[in-house]
Amino acid sequence: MMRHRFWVLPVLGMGLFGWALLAGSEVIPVQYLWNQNQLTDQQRAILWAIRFPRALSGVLSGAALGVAGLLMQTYFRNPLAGPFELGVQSGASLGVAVVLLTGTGIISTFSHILAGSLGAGLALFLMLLASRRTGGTASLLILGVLFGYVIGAVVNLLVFFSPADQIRLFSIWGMGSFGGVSPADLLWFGPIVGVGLLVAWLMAKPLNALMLGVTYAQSLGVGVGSVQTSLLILTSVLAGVTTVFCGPIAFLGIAVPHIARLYFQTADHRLLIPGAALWGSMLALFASNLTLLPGNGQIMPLNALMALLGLPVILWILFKRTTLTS
Amino acid sequence: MSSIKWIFFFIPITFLGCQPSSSSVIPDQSGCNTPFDPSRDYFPVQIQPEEAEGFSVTYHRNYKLVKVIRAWPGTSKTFTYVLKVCGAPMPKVSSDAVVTIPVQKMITTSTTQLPGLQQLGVLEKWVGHAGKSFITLPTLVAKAQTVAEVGSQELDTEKILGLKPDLVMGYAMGAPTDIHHKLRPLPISVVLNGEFAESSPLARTEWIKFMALFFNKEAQANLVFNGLKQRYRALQEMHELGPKPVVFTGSYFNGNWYVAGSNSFMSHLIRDAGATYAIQDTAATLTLDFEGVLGRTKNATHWIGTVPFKDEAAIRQTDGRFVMLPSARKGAYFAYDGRFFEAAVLEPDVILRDLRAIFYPDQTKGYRIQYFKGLQ
Amino acid sequence: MLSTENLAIGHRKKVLLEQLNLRLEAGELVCLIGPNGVGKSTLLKTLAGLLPPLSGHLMWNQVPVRSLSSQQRAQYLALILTDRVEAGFLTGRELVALGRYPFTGWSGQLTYEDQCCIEEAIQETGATHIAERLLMELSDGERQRLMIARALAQKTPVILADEPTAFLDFPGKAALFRWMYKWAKTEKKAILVTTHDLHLAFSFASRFWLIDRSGILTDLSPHDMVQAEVWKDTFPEWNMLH
Repeated sequence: MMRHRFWVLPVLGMGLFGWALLAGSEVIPVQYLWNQNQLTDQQRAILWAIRFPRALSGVLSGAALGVAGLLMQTYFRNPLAGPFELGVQSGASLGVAVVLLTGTGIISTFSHILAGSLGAGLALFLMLLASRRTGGTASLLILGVLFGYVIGAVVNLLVFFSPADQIRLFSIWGMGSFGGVSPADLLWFGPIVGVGLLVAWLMAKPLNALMLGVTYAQSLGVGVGSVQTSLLILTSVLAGVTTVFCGPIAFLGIAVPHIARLYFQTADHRLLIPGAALWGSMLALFASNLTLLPGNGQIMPLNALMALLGLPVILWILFKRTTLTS
Repeated sequence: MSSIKWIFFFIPITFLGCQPSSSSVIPDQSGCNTPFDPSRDYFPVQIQPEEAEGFSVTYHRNYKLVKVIRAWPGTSKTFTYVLKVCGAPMPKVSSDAVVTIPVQKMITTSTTQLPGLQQLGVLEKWVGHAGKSFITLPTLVAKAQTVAEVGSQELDTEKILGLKPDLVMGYAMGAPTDIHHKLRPLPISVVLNGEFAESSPLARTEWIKFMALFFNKEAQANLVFNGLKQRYRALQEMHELGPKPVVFTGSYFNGNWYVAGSNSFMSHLIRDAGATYAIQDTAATLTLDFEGVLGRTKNATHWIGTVPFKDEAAIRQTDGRFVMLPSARKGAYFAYDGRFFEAAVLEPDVILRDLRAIFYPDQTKGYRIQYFKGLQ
Repeated sequence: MLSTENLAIGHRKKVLLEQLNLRLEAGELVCLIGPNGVGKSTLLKTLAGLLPPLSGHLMWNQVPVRSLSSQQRAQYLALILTDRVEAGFLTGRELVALGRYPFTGWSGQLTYEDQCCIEEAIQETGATHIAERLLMELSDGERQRLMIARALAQKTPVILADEPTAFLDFPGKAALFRWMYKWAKTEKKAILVTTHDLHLAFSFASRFWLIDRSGILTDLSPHDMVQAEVWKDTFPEWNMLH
């Protein structure tokens, strides 16, 4: 019934994408976007090698994290679940750190993605085990934050015991920015997120049933075991690949599902999954554009802006939890 | 802040812990090596800073009053130290620390403090160092085998106490965790060295005079510094052949670029070597995205100090787009040699000559660059 | 419709009930009663095929449950539990529509027939006035009403309900028992209900499965039940009322 609201988002999204293409130290006039042969070589390079990948990786990260957050909130039946908050992205960082710091010399994009997703999967799995032993909405969040600290500590210790050359490699790895994704990376990043989102959307039906809880879902004919395993893998890959390419990005995954629910006034995953993907993309693009506001090529830290945008949502859930619980 | 943190990444642990060499001088009853003579002028040779802005000294018959005016960049706090001869009465001056000179046992906390000790010939007074694994100059590495490690990540205050030093040469960043706060309750004289807060290379090197104050090695310090200054100025005033290169120095860390501003140490060196520094409007270090670097270094012909990249393959592997930098396209990017940061204090003239050789290769044929490494 | 042969149930190694030889027939409303903790819910979930039996056989319509797919199971048996449902932005109708889960395609798209089943279930349970409201605006009782409608929309021959009256007020409880009686009689459903509302159970039940404190399950007709002293031992508090 709220489907008409859906079509506002792509229009807004296009606007933000356009802004992302125009934002930066080099001035590229708007009309040049349509009339590209007026661009100088330098401008063309900036547009296609820097701004376009940055904008697109913002879109991909936002969509991936928004949907990963939605899957986790349904899966945990907890409005405070999110890939950053429950340490899933920290797990991915750990995976990358292990590859880079204990490096066997085989360092490829694929090994990064694999390690990141495995790390994320391990963290998610441990959180699932833990969540069965704690009740309470907020206690899961506390557990996740503690868990994130532990993983951070392990990464620090890994760094401590690693040789300087390996640390050098690790230090290059991006920490929360969309600018580090090169056009070559997009050939991995894009398809993986694309397939992930499609699979998530195909799982909308069992996800809807899972909102009633595992027992009800089972009684409705959901193959709970296989659905849960698929969700675990899917969430790990979405959060993992984003972390590998852009570093840990805070608050997006927890805030976006709530924004999507509020905006569409629905809990139906058939609408929420594309909705969360769109809202995630837009929020990520918006934050990414904001980082460039100081002008002259200077950038503000992305995660600081994410915190400012996302924290109000978390507080609102804590004080007025209306979107998932009553 | 993050670049500071990055430095800590490079601190491996050390298991070495050696005892300092014991002093062979036998003290008299007063505890002094020579009896105090109140009528004597103890400091016939004096130093005065010419380039350095961070310290000053006034001489009295048997004590020196040393002020560190800029212990760290941007501070307005002045630290006052009384350096007095053994046995001399305490002057009526309020001070942050009193040091009995000449110092017999000294602990250092930064590798940049060491070349000075070596050149003043007082390395045998060196008993401890924090972060020995950072030392790269071969003579110092050899000597470091005989001094104690007093903490690679965190200061080992117990070890410092046990060494009974006359002086701990520290440095501070204006943080509550700074060394002088940490060691305040202990009966140990901590003096802050503000050498790193100087932005001009000669001023930085001149802190050898500051070091000399503690060992009464003024004559030696003047000799070393005057020679160095002469060589440096001569290089600086050489006429350039051909167009002035445009140069920048920047590093890449966690997905961001950090490009040194126009008042940085490296930018001074680069200008002194006869080049133009690419960033002119901003004194402080810039945090930039890649487009920002590209825009700011549009005319740059050289990229000096390619931290953390050691070779071109590393740059390409990190992000293929980085070769879009004009300086990289020309192949004119140079990494620091590992010994660079100690050498910058000890031999700024050699570094200047290196840079000239990079900027004007035709002028300096046959010269072998020592502290930089071309990436191609 | 549903039968067991030497069934033993419980968790891990702890046996709660064993040697169960039960039959639930079409047109019956069976009330499962007994004190808390004797394994009523476990029995219900085992019969629903959600918990594996420790030993013995469980047959639905003479077919071993193990051999059925999860979709086949969901088309045969619907379950009503006391689990709180927290899905704030779901409307009442969307919740009821989830009952059609085992019949819809991969996308969950509802056909005309599905829509009819949903509408019928909503009307049957008197949930029309809450069908378009969001779950987060509804009381526990209203949600439970919708969950019952959902089970009805599932159009299964068998319904198992664990304390379905728990969140309802007394008129609600009475209405629910009346409906279940009607579904059993007119639609020939087999319905098994656990409940503590004995007075309602006496009015509507076809049979009783009584579990006493020693873990023995006795199959009793309402007549036997009134006569039997056994249930008075099981519920001592009832001795005072009768």
